[in-house]
Amino acid sequence: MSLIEQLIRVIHEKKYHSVTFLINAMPIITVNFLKDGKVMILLNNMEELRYYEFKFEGDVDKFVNDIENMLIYSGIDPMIRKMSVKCIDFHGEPYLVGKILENKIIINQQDMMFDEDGSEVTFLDRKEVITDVNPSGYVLAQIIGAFAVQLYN
Amino acid sequence: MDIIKELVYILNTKRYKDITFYLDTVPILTIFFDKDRKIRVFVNNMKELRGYNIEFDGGVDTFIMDIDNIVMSSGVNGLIENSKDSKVSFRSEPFLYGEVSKDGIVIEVDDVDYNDENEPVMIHKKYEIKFDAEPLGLTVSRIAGAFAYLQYM
Repeated sequence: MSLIEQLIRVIHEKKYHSVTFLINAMPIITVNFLKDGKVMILLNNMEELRYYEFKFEGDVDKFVNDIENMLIYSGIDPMIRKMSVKCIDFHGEPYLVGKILENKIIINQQDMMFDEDGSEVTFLDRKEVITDVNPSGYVLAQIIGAFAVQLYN
Repeated sequence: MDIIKELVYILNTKRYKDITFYLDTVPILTIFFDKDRKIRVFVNNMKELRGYNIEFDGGVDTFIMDIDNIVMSSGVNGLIENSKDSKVSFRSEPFLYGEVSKDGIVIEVDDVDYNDENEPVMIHKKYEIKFDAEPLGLTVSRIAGAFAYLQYM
């Protein structure tokens, strides 16, 4: 199963409208998923803050490719490679906390259910995606693509 | 003379399409001055990246107030005020570099001049503006105001 397929199975659907990626507690990318498949991406390449707009039209491969190209040309991918980053954190709203490590991606999500008495019960859902990748623009693009699929499809 | 007048006097007829402010080496605020007096403001509050759209249609004072509101509400002002040992600086292209303190701004610009043989010569100029101490966040907003003034007035 490809990385994006694994991520789609893990990330809760119709839930996350915003996700931020951080290196050493420094935000480098914030993705806002708006209505009608409009995706707003804010970047911090450590020289300036930038903004890009995309449209998710159902073709996830094209979307991931566009995002990856943008991450390369904006300086984010070269920055990650140059810094030899070992871990990229990410968080989504409402509660999701994740880590991209050298050979796996860990995702913690909070889920809410109702018990037999109709009371709300919150539990933590921890998943690991084992994959042979290094933190890079391509991996980030695939994670963003998985969030888009789970929100828009 | 107030900060804006002094900055406009120093920068004279120069036009800058964007300006980025840094806390040490980290970009915290980038402002793009687009056509039709439309302005895009991007903020890094060290937790996430945010974007705002504003217009320059009510004069410099209104613009400064708008920027100040963004700086305050986004958390950037808190960052600046809480990082007492950090340096707040700004950059723009073509070469312009400045440093902000509570009671002054140091600004360096490269200028092209012509020698006796009418050949272009690059001159590096350094200016210092002194004023009564005020919050750094407000000074940042005023500097942005001066750049907007140069661009649109």
